[in-house]
Amino acid sequence: MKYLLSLFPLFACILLLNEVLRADEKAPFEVSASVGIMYHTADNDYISPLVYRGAGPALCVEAVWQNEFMLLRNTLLLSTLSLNSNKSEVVGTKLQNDFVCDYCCGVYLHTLSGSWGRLSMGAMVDMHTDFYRLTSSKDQFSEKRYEFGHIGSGPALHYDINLGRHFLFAGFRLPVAGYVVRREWYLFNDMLEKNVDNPVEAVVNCGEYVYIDELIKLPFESGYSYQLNGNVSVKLTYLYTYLAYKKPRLVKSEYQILTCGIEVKF
Amino acid sequence: MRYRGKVLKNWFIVILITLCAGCAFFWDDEKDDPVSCFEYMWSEMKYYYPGFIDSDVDWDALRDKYLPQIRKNPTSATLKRVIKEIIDTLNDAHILAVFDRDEQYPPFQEVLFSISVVDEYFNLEYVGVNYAFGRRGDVGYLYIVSFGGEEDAMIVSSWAKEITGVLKKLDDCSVLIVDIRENPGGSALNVQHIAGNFILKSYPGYARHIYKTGRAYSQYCSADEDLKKGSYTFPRPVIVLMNKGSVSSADFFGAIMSHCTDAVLVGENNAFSSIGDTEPTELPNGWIIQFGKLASELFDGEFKEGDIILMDYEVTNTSEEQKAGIDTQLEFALGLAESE
Repeated sequence: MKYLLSLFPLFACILLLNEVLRADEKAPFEVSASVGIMYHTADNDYISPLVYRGAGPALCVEAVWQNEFMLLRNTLLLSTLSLNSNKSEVVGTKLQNDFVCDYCCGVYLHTLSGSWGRLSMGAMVDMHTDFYRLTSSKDQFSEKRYEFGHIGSGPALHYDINLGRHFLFAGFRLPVAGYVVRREWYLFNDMLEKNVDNPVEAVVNCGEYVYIDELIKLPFESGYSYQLNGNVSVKLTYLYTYLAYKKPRLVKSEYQILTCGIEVKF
Repeated sequence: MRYRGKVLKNWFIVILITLCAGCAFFWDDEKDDPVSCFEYMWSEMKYYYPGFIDSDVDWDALRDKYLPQIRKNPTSATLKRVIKEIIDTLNDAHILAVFDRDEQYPPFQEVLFSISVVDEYFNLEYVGVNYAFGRRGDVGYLYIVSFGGEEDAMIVSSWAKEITGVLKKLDDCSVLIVDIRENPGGSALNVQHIAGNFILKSYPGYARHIYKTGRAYSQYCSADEDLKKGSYTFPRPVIVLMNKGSVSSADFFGAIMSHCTDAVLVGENNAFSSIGDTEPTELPNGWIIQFGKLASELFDGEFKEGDIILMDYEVTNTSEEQKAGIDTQLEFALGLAESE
């Protein structure tokens, strides 16, 4: 039954294909770039029994194509940050998350609309990476690494309402099936480090299919934009993501991102 | 207009509440009392440390011994004493505990070796940070600072490949001294590549690597590795200098030279420390225990963790001699070389 979830994006694409073909060629295309701050909390039982928290810069780039029937959204979020625990001062430990990358490509149908706004439903492909390093101020210590990559797919919702020059939006997506890659070689049988140094081999050898009962990712987005003139808007976005994966040790992460940027319509 | 204002206001309130009330606000650390810290350390080492496989150490018995002591007197001082006693029991050169920024166990050892003293004997040519070489009359000298490789790279380092060229430069010497004193180890691939220049044949499956795959003592996997003869073989007698500061893959080098070649080992008998690939494990109180997660046995178990690499000639430097610019181990090796 779980394997049927893997086919969800395929069914969704077939359903949406008819609408895509009817797309209006003059549909507006929007691009936005925002910068802001990410506050990240990591409760990673593999890395440490302590909860690490910290903030860092975030960059968000979004490209939207839409017509009266559908909406295609591509969102890329990048960040790098350094986290501390309540006990970091003891020996100077820090948890570096060198590369937070979150990408989502969603295809939505405008299914409901009215004076209350417009609700779109669709399917998405979602990708996320975290490259953690536990470091210490002591020179003799090696680093403890945890490298995690996930690609998943599932249903997505997008809501927006236009109030004159004010524009409000919210989004939610739920990956129900996906593929996880972890590079900790000793966690799986018959796997040696030298076999996974090559990134392609790592993806093949260190990956496994996961479903919503094993990996939960709950991204929620809301925001506001204000139209300065016909083509340019300023945009404020808040993105909340909860990520939990229980193999082989429970890893919980929370990401809160607040960005501000410019949106240009073509 | 009033409707629009109300919607906007409510929208921002929702964002503000969500921003402040992330569920991670309620996440908490593990308990950091001494009993919990000991239990955490014990279970982490049981999970990941491969030193209990085919070992005389009874890890369950150590828990039974020390846990009541910590429960009886649950202080940081008791926990620290227990950790030190456990490290002494395990006798693994890779294990290190850090209690604060200034205190660690085992503490720093006095280093009875200085390359600047060696420089008085040989006019050394330094190449990069990994090695230096020189000659004194007919005697060649190669000092390998560490076998370290590029970070995360599972390839032979460029400096290790250069060693072959250095050996070719020195192969008109009557004897070569290879000095790995105070060598902290590094990449086993670099060791194998350099050692390949001294062996006369390849040794398939010379090393068996063991790593844990689960909590139970029986949950582990192993894989074999080959030692390949290099394209070049150094044709002269070799003397290897080691001391107690030669650890980890430097011990691999000593073991390979002892088992596969006619090299003469000079220096201090050395406990074979092979449980490498160390990672720090943070305890709930912020202390760190670092231990290896990959155990290795060489030559069908001839060299295992804790086994002694016996020197052909046991010679020790003293602090006074070092201060006076005298390297007794090196002088002994030079005497041997001249008698060859």
